[in-house]
Amino acid sequence: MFTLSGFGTLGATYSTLRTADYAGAAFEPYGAGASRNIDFADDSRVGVQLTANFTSKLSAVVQVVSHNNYDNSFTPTLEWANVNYAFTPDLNVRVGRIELPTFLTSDYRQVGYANPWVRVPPEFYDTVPITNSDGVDGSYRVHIGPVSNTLHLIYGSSTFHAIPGPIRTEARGIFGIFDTTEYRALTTHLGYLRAHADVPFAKAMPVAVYSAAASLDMARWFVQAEAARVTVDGLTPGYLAGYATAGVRMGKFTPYVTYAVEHSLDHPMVSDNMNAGQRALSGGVRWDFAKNFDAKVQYDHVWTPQGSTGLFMNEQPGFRLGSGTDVVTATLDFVF
Amino acid sequence: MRHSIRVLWSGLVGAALWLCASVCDAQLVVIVSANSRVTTLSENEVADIYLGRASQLPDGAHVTPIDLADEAANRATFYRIVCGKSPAQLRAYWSKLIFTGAGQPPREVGGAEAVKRLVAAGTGGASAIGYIDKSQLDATVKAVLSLH
Repeated sequence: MFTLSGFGTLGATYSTLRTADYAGAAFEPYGAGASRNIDFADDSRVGVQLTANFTSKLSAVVQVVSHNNYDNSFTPTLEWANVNYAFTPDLNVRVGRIELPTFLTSDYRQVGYANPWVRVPPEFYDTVPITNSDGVDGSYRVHIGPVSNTLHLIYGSSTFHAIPGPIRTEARGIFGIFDTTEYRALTTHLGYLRAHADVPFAKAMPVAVYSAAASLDMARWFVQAEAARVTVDGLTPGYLAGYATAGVRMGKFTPYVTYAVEHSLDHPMVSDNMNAGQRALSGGVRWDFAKNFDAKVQYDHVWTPQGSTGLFMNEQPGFRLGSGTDVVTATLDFVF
Repeated sequence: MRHSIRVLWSGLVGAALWLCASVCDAQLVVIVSANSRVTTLSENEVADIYLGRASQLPDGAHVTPIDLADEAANRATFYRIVCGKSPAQLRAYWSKLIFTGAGQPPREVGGAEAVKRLVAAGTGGASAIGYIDKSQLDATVKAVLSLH
């Protein structure tokens, strides 16, 4: 009746730029570069999940994740806790804390083993740093010949800490509609999400996210690309973001390349957000060296347009807007 | 010395040929209970059931997939042919579903006899589906797809 599973990543991150931090995720207080020479917290995390199947229709899932929080603690946070009722195997309704499937890999972005890279491309994924929502959702899957299509609706609210960490952000009235189509090795994902964001200095700022993604996961190679338009009125300049990634499977080794872009829409703001975009070109290799383990090494060349801090944090005197860095990361992923 | 190397060599070649004859010739078949109304399934339909995307047979019956243990050679062959996925790729696929609470991988059993037993009897009121060597077929189950 109960199934315990877990995942984790141990990472070491090095960035050549010494005047600011390169952080692996949006919530982290420090990164590699200015604060730490080699940052072991940047890309490391561990998660434990308990799944309970009470009956064939009623189940529940609780997931707790520990990573470097905004307050520099590793205090585990309750990522998901929901109860699922399956009216039919294809019609599910959940209540509780639910993952927010904003983008193609949003719901497993923390599971390194399930992803080809050392981290999800931050230029794209950090545009919507919320991972969960407290509320309800429903999903309905239909089979049309060899194609299966899942329509997913979600409603809820979420409280989180975004860059810079101490700022408490509340997203209210989150409403999302997502459509996922699977046909053999092809997966496509379309999404729309809206909400209102409250921060200490501004209330009810409209949030809108439009996204599209496709992934082709063949036996010998894979390609995956996503694009999104994300606006948080008044708090960010609005972004058009996207990435494309491709890899080749050669036995236990999977080399890959990724190009990611975050482009500013230059909308007016009430906050002093200086991130006017960032780009990165990355290359790496995944090594599936043992059952339920992999090791990865990734190199990122990161640069920002003129006048932009990009996703850098803890800028020191001497940091120049519109600069960049080179990052080398090694990770060990596991699942159990 | 030279003679013994030749003997060893021909022995190795013979062993390799024998291994190939037994492995390369092994043909997998997808099976359902002999009582099932289903007579044939496509690779796509089988793939959807084993990847957790479908839970019904074409006749509407609920179906539970039965898998072999991770180390079984037939399992790697099955997933390569039906889903186009390597064992590592398959584990990455399931970790996506497990950690979203969206599903659990198929139940694993020890060998072909256990597969046949479950498929013939069904599990918890639902039909079951499995895969075995063609040579292991008997009257309790029937083949609905041959894998080449």
